[in-house]
Amino acid sequence: MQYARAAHIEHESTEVPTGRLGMWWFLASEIVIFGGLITIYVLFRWRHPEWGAESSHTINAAGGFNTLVLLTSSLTVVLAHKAVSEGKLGEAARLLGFTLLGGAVFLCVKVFEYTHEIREGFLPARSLFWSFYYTMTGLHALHVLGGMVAIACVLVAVRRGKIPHRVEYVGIYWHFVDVVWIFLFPLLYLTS
Amino acid sequence: MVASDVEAGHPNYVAIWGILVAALIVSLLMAGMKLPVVTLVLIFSVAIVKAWLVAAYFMHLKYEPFFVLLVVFAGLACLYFLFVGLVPDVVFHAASAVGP
Amino acid sequence: MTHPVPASHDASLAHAQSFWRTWVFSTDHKTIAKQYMFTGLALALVGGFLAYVIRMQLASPGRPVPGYGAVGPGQYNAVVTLHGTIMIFWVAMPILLAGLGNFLIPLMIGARDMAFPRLNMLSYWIFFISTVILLVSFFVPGGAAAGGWTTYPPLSDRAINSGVDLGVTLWILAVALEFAAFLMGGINFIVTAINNRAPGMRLFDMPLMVWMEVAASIIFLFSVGPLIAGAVLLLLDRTANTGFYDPARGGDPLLFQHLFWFFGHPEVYVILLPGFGAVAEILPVFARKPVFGYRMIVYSTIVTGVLSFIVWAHHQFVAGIDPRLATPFSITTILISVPIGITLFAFIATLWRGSITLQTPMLFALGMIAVFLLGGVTGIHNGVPATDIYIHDTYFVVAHFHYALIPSVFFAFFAAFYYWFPKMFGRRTNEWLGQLHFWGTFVFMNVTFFSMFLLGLMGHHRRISNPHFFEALRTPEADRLQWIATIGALGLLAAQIALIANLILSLTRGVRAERNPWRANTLEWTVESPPPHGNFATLPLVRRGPYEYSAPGRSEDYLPQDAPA
Repeated sequence: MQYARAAHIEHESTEVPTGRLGMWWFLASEIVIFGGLITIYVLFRWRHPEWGAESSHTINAAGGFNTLVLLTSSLTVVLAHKAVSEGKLGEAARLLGFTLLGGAVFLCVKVFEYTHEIREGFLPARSLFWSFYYTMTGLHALHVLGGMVAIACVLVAVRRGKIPHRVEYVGIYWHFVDVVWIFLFPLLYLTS
Repeated sequence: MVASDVEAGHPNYVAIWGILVAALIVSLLMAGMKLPVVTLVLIFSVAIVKAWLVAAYFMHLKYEPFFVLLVVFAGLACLYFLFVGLVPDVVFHAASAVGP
Repeated sequence: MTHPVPASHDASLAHAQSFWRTWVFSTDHKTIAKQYMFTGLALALVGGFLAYVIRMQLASPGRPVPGYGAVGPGQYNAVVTLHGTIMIFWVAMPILLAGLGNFLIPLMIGARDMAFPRLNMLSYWIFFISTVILLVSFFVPGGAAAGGWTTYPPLSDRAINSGVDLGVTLWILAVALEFAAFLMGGINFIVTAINNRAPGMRLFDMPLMVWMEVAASIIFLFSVGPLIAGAVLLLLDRTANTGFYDPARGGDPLLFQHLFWFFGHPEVYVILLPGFGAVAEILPVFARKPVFGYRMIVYSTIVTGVLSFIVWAHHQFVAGIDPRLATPFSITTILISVPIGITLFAFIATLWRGSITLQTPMLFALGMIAVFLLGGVTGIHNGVPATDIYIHDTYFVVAHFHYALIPSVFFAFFAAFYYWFPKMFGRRTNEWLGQLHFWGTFVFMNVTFFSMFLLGLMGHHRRISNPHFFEALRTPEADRLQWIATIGALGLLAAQIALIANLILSLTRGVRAERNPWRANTLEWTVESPPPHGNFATLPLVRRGPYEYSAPGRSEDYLPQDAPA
């Protein structure tokens, strides 16, 4: 596979590697998808001040803890990138493992929150606020899951000493998922 | 971390993580305040600062050439257009809609 | 990490691969381009058949359509919906953007392949699956989606509102997959053009076709996001009983219209720009003159792209939007005709004092400009609320957007097809059949759609299955116009037989094409016809811009981009 990559790109016109440029354009498309959803939510939230009362039923502590988990997993994935650039593939693999663990903890906390909220009767169809809550956090959780799959693939490859430059690319994606959560957290939890 | 790290495009990541965690704690504390407008402005300012720190240092946006920055901001500009165009209908015009 | 010698120019590589890897699951951009193109053309036959059903039904309402049967009102809605959906998403985009873009971008900028060849293959196969899902939706219980190609709620969010349930869900799924495919393809186009240009090629050495394809991809990428979000909400309204678009539960049906047109209007330029690109390549070659105002055309394209994001609400003047929105959106709509006008004037100025040869590609390119002008000019009437309120949702609008889309999709694609056919398949097309195809298409297109302008002004609403239901349309004059439009449509479809015959004849018996049959400058003409896997034996060194025709003091009237001075 690496053969094919090296063979068909002989010349790069900018200083940015082709793979990283592709990742940024992919993120641009993600920005307008997530950003579109957030824009719609903000408009509805503006129109319905009474959603503050509904928002107070979300668990701030769980959301805050999850923010911490994602920030830390972002730290480990960027340290993995640094380790790769220093040639320490073993350390990079270990740090990627920590990032995967962070993603798993995040999803577990999210499942706990959903269970709690559904038990209290806050189902997606209860009101528009909860529809938005489940749509936005659900879509974000799917991105976390997708990022974990990508990181796991890169982790396996790095263990075998292959395509280490992809550590940086999955890292950029993972940070994007982190940034989305940085906005979702105050939007859905803190503005009660 | 040594200076050569910074030159190689690797700032002190742990320190940035420390700032991010501190910002998180600040926003959690602010959520308990009783001044709605001030809280709102502060919480989202903190969120924007956090997002910028992650994008600039963890995602290396600070070290990319200008046109990569342009890609991100073009996306945000489109969202701004969408937001402005939607405000009159979705926020203010809704009163005339049927239902409760 | 070992750096192998680039083996791509080894011609045997293409033959070393199995049949499946060469023709079906190929990562070669040229094969993927052909796959997109032929899928799109096949779907054009489906869309054309639906147009035939629509026209027959309107000319003689209630009488069974030969080859289809009786068309009930519900079925008519499904036919109209699928005609629009197929022609925009499954014909225009695959042939213009994915087909021409895939084939031309790497060849024109001197790259061996797309930046991400496997992503490119994935993009086609996702598109293929979406095509299958769309076609399957015709045959599911309840029939295909019938809420119009714009699929507004409430028609689309509750089965009871349009009488179709599963069909709408499949429609949303198919369109979502199609968007995913074009996002992947678009990212590939953009990155390839930014990063994989041949040594020496600056941005302003790129042929206009590449600029236009990239601009279209960027416009698509940025405009489609909010609609994807909106489609997720629509799908949840249908499946999870949420109420995002239900005013009774605090939702807002107008929101979907806004999201749809925030994408839908830029989409017009996504379709138009590749067509402009093809015309911009063909005009200088057949006029033997440099394109007039290369940089001006590029800047106009960028301005068009930016403006296209702030014109969308002109589709909703009568939808009950805030009246204060009408003026700003009307102003931006009129404004966007300025950069488009600059581009068209630059095209016309390119012809000035050229030595013009009217071969098939040139005829279609000139036809594109002529017909598109009429489509563009009638757009002004729709962009101003005062006139739009009168003509909104009538056949005037239908005629307007067919006058805009048929030239930018079909005329421009046919021009490109006849022009690059020798490069794609290594054979020349039949000139006589090509001219027949052009004149048939040009004449019957105008017969069909000009009568629709008149019908629209008489008050023919665009979404009724039986015009006789209305007093004003029960006149002999209206009936005559309906028949003229129908006969025009039949002629337009019949003219395409010349294309199919030409395709079969040229593929089997066409004269072998040399490398550069049109004596053109751009890089794709410097390689063999058809180009081998990997395109270039050695990467070309680009020395100049793409339009150096008839330079004084030279024996040849053209100067390829990589030729030493």
